[in-house]
Amino acid sequence: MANSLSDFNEFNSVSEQTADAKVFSDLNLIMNVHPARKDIIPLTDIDAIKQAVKNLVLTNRGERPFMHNVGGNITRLLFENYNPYMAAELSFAIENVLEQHEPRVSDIEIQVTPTDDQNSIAATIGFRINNQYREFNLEFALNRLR
Amino acid sequence: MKTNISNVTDLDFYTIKDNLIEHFKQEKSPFKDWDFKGSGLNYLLDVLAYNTHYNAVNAHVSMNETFLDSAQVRSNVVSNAKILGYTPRSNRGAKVVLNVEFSRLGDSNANVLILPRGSKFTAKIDNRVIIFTTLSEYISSYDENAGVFAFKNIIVNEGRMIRERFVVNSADLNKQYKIKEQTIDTSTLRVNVYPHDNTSDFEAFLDSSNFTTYTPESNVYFLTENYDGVYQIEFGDGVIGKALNNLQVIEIEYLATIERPENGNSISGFIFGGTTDSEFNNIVADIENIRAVEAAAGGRIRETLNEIRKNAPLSFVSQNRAVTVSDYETLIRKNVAGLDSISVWGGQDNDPPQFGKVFLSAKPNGALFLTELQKEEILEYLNTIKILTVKPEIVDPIYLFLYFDIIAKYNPALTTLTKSELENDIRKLIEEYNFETLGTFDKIFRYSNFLSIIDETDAAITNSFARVYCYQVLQLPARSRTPQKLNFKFELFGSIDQKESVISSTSWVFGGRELFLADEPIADSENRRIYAYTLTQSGGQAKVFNDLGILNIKTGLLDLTPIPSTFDTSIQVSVIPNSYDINTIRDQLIAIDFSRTSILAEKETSNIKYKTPSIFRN
Repeated sequence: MANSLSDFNEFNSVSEQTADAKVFSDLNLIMNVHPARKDIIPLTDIDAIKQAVKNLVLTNRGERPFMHNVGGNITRLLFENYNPYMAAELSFAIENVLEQHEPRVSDIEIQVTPTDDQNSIAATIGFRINNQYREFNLEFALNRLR
Repeated sequence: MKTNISNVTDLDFYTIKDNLIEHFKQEKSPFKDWDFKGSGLNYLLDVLAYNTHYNAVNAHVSMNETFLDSAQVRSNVVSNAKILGYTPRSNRGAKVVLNVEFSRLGDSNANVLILPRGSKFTAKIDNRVIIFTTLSEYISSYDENAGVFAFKNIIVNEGRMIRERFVVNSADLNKQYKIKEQTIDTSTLRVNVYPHDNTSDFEAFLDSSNFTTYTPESNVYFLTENYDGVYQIEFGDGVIGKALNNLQVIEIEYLATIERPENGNSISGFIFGGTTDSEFNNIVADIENIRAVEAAAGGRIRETLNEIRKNAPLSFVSQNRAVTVSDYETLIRKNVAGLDSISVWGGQDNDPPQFGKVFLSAKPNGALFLTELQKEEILEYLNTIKILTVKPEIVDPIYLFLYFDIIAKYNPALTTLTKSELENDIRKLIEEYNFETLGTFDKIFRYSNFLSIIDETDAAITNSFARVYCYQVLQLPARSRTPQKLNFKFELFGSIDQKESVISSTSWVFGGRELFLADEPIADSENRRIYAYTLTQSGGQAKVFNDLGILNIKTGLLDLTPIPSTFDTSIQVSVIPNSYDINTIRDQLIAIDFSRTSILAEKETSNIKYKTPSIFRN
């Protein structure tokens, strides 16, 4: 499942929605409990979309039952030596999965940077939500689990 | 949130997931992202739907496997059949009757030769040696004149003889003895029990089907097929059948067939494979002659799932006693291998009625008629299960051979096939129809169905027409003095007083002349007279025998006087049926003769130029 890869990644939940944004609402897979209501806290709007983007990128193909083609399938690349070709392939894999399965985003730009000290790759995904002017960035680190 | 999931019978993952999504589509739902593949909710729905799907399929399959009709796994089908007291039939090796002659060694003066049980005869199929084995001992006296020991009518079964021994361990609670070879022919199984390992005294044990009641002293073994598809035997517990004691030795002996025992059918070219019996080897110099009296027959693979599903309940109903017609069919099917189709009818339904008899007719695998050995085997088996006062009788099937003149119109613009390819395709489909639809008893040849098969051969075929002919084979033994009947059992095409012959035949020879059968009207009679003619040099007919019997075209019966023939031969007597739908009853079987069937595809390019088929009225 996607979250196993990103459990230690800081989830950026800062909302930057505009007044005319269409309301999206999703289940937060971290399942945080609201201190007062004692209920889960749904993710809304840009946070919901960011979670969806991250889920898609971190899912490997074949992980989801009966949907074998869904997923960024990037785990296999994280075991490769880093070089420009690998970076291009990683970017392409991320862009491809978002174009196919996340219809809410467009103008996708990917930037991957090696962070050698941490044995990881920092991925920055820039995108625009359809019918909105502002751009959003989602940053997270891609680590090998072992 | 109110739930609106109403359908709980779906098995399919996508449908189950769609049902869950429907649930979240409600207006006041706190979650709206159900239709985005990456959303957390969608991931959760995957797990929920997969779990439901998994459990539903599991429950569905488990339930299906519980019933004989729907179970797919062999061990479950067999297990369900076991509840009905039914043990599926194992492989059956082909049997053949041989006449064998051995010469004697010069320094031997033995007058009697014993061919022991387990003697081997071999034959080859595709360079593969197949072993046939004797299951009985045969004795022959020395024939001084011929200088040989002549064995007549030796029955040999296909299969290698296997011997296994088990030592009884009373501490073992699961006292089942698995038979090593999966290809065992259980009809050849012999079970002997020795008191210990160092003795030749033994007690023979018999299969449970030989017993009507069990006592603590019954020497019975119970044969079953286990979960691994392997046969195993068990013994009594001291109440139902005799119990075995610790360290007794069980010896079993059986034949293991080849993997596809039906390959042993019709095999020929036997050679003697030898025996380990030293007494035999000290007498015999060589094999002089070996001849199969009849072709090998009866080889068949173990009962398939479909056969078990059909036979097990019927076997339970018949309770191993042949009373009704279906009892006979079921029990013969279960116990006699190598039969494609069986027809059974009571003597009261026979024509003419013969009370106190039951008739049966069977078509064996890959042959037209049962061998004498197969008939004996069936009658021998029926004698053990029939009602005392009823006498079973086996009659050979009467084959109604159909042949056709077929013409199919086709539009060449609608196909890439050539004329001959189209004709070949039609032939192939008719061959399939012959095999699948007509091959067994109680089948009806339906003309319109037959034409529809031709029409559906290719989209280019616009219409078709077939003229139907039928013939039966009439045996003509040399110098026969026995009258014969040939009964088509349907009305023939033609009028009672027409000058042209209704029947036609192939030729046979008598007195140096080639003769044919034909018929002519008889004044003021409902029958027609059958005569034999020969062809003159000018192509005309010259009558040779004026009266060889009568023909009734209403009933299709040819009542024939003895027909003179110089040689043992057979002829084909052809007629045209009045109705192109042909029904079969009792011992009749329909088969299509492709050697006499003509198929013609004719081009049809436009409606305006349509011509009726060239050789028929349409």
